[in-house]
Amino acid sequence: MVDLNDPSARRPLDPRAIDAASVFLKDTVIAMGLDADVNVREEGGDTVLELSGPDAKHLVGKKGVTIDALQLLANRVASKTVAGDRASLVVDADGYRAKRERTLSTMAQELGERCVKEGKVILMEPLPPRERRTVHMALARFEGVQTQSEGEGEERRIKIIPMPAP
Amino acid sequence: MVDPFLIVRHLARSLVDKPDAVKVSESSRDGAVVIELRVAPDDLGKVIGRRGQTARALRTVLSAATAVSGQRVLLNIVED
Repeated sequence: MVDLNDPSARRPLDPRAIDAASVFLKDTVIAMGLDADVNVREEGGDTVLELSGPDAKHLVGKKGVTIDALQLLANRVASKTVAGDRASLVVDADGYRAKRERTLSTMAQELGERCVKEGKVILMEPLPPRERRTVHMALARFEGVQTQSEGEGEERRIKIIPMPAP
Repeated sequence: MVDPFLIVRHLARSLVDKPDAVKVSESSRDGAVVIELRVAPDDLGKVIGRRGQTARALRTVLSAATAVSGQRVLLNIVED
């Protein structure tokens, strides 16, 4: 089942919130002693703040931990700027999100095949909401399996369940 | 060499409602830099977050910045 969570993700954000997040990221990069620029773009209904430049790769971190932390903080700053608005900006660096999406889709397909073959439930490692969405989408029309999310907060993970043929 | 003090001060001031109440102090212990962060009582939730999510993000950014130079930095959020 696709959890198209976070309905706020589809609402256009106040430009002031985007500016605040953008300035915050730029200042953070400077404070970190790194060299990268922030560019804002709209992509598939999301506002993406992309860090690019010589040091952008240092802002990703192992499995994206650093870019995810920067994204969380930038969203807190944006939400603070426009009271009552829960911001859901995407922060990216060096095209990491697209690469990660491809990796996750491939992994999901492989796990789907294994699930069908072995007929056993597969529990994935915890993933953030957007990455869970990628996995759900990758397996939405995959014959013979169903996906479900379980657990709370940062422990929320996807269960791939084998479905008997009708 | 990046200054962990400046990073924490910038991050904390960006998150809270009362930036002027942000106080950051730096000391060293067993070869690690220890940063103590104090904010206005109403702002404590802003730097800690639900289930400590925001505090964890602060520590992640801080260690990404200091890892390059091999510094070890600990961040304590102090509630007075």
